Amino acid sequence: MNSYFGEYESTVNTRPNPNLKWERTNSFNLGLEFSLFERRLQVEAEMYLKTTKDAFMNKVVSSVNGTTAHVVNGGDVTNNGFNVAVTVSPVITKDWRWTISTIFSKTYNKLKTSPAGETYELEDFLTGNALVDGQPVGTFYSYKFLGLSPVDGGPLFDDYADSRHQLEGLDKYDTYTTVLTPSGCREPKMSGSFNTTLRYKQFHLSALFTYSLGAKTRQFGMFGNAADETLASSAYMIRPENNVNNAFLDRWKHPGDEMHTNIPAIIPDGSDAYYKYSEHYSALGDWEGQFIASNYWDMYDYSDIRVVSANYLKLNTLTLSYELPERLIKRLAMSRLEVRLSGYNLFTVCAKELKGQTPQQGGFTTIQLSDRPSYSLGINVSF
Amino acid sequence: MKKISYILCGLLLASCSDFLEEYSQDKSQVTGYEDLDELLIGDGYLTPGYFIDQGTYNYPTPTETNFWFINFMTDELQENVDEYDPDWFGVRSTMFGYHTWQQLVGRDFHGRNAHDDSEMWTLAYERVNTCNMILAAIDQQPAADEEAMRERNRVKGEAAFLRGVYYYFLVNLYGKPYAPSTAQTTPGVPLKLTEYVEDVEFARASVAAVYRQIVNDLDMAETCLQAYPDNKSPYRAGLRAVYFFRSRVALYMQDWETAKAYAQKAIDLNATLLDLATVSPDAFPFSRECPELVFSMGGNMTTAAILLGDYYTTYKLSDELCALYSQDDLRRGRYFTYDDSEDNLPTLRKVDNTFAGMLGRPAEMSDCFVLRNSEAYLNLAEAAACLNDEGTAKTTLTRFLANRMATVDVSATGDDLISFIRDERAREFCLEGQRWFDLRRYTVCERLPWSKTIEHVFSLYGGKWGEWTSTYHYRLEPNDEAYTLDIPEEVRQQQPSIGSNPRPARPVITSEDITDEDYEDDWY
Repeated sequence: MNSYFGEYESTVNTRPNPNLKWERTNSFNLGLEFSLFERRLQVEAEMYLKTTKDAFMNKVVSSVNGTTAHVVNGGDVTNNGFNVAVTVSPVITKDWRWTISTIFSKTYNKLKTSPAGETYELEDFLTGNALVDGQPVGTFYSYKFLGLSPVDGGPLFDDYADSRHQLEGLDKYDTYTTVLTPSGCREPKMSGSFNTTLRYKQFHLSALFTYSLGAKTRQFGMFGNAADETLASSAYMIRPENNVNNAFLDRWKHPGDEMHTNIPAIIPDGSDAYYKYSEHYSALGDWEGQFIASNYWDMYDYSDIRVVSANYLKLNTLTLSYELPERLIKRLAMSRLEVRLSGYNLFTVCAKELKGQTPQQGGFTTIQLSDRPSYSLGINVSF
Repeated sequence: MKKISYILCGLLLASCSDFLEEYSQDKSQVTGYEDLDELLIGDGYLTPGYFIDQGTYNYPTPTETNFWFINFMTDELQENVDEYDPDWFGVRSTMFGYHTWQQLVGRDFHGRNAHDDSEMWTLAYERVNTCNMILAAIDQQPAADEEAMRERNRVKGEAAFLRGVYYYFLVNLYGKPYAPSTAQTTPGVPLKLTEYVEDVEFARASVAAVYRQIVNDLDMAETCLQAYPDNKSPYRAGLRAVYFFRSRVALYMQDWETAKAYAQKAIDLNATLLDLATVSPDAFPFSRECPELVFSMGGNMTTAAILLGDYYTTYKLSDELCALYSQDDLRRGRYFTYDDSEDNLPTLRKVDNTFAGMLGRPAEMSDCFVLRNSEAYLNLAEAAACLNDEGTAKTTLTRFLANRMATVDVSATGDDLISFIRDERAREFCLEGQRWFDLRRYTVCERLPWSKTIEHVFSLYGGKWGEWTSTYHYRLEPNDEAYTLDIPEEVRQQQPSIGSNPRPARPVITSEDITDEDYEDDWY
């Protein structure tokens, strides 16, 4: 009830979208299962082909419509992939048994229609949400880092600062595909897991590994929160009362350091060089083109020098268990007694630049603690 | 057994189509014109703003400010430069771009982003689209009898009227003033008349096309609202509101005949004028019950910037405005008064401007869109004078001024009469959202073009106690291009093809600094 008018009021919730059609997906699945050599080799394979037409896409439209969010039938997406699960038991004897199983999967997806020039914002390109013609889905873009300045240790980029008139008047898609460089795909090309189990009499040892190949990720931002959606980080986050990334120990300190380090200097508010890096030309009032970056510190956090491979091999679980023989436990009226020692997230083999950062969630999200190993000892009893 | 299975199959198959029908679990659809009526109140009319009390130790926070920026660009307000910072809710830095006619109105003094300058644009277009949706759906709503048909037409008329009002705001903010000779080719604002979201690049229609749309909408409103000369309250549009607004639009289009005709129609329906001699100096002249008020939309947030009291007045009524009122003008003391502080600041009193009166509920008369009976008289007088019909102009003026001045003396003729009427308009409608649009249309008026220079200042306060440090002066030249706002930055970035309005950068004319000798003596 609106007291100013003295009557009931309602507001618009959803605006008319009469041109929106159903999404249509055709999918085709094919599977195969077989085993050979008296069940020593078992294979399950599956393949799928999925074509979606008129997929829903979120698009930004002119505010003349009264709203800027709009859903359209965007395009054609094809999703193809296959899964293979193989289990092999090379050793089967009375006392020993060794089984290895592995699952492997791969997907291919492609967008067949290219989006309109104003659909994607800068953030979409930096986080891999923008769909670019000719690049796989999930490709993310970065600023081109050239090196550190020999004068004050600030980061230098190939950002068309000297030839910026070439960028004036271009739409967002053209600007960002020109200034930024594709840095790889967020999604892995190959991923899967494998499991091995070894049994000797009453002992069981099993291990589960997971792996991923082909993805790339960003290191966590150094100058503030690199995944902050407003990209408002800047060098003034470096304060005596905050913690900073310990990579700063290797930063540029004197002219000449740029030969052996890529970490920029800390340039505080009071120094002469502060204003060179605290505002990018595309954020100032007289720039005629698209917004490219707010300041040079943000550009460093999102630059190609901070992109590392996200390949990893991780030991998820290692379990050693001992089952007491029946004759021993029959006296205790138990039907089964098992002692188990497990370790989880024991180690991850990944790019050394990550320095403990979880490869699965890179610098696209807020800084998080990587998975910590944990151990447990347990007893399993059945009566 | 077979029969049973056939019957079961038949039952299952028969109900399948219902199963597939779409329905929403948490949203409701429009089922009648009453729903559209509710929509008018929620999303059609401007939401009036007011102040939320934040307790004893915090300044109150404002809600919707709507179109209040147009009051700050005129010669009606002047910044109150004081020893210590009088700005109590940060309005001065928000207003910097508007008050000093900067090239980019969304930036503050240092060039940083102060606020989103597309506020007025998005507000107007959101409401326009609501009106579009109502107009598209209204004719399909069921109307059982005569009464229902009339009500349905009422909703249609109100939606059409509102769409006209919002396009009037848009084209007068973002398009050049209407000059009959050039309006066809001057770019205005994009016209959106469809109710669904369109994924296109909107092109700006010409100023003439937008005005034509406004006139069409008002004609539709006129036919639909025939049965409702006065709607339920002064906050809902009725036939009288349509007549008033149509007369104002005709005045802006320099269509003197139509302006005169509609003003006359409005006076014929109801000609009550508030006799200021009967209003005591302690009361506030305008409220919901005022007999003169025809239509008001929005709250009155401008009054807050010009509060009663000496420590918290960020802006005050300008000296030019106060000088316009002669000594025996009854409006002195009722529309504004001088406060008790040592600086004798002029403060607005048209609506309740006490701290207590503004908290928690919106003011009763708006600061950006008001239609009052006085306007009919002044419109009629101005149209008649521009048609050189001085007799009608003088009689109307005399009748109007009898309620405003102790002694009435209308003796000017010719161009002087028109200037006198224009001044009268400035006196009567100060801070009601009219002055800026009037200043614009006077620059292109074919009968008597006129423009003036306006000077505004912007001060900086700093130091430990918020002491005054410097003041910068800016000037708006006659016929300056800054009379038109530029298309908002965000809109231009999202769609560069929409173009932009030329708007010059505004240089500082002079400045005073705390280190200047004279000022040190004055303050200290």
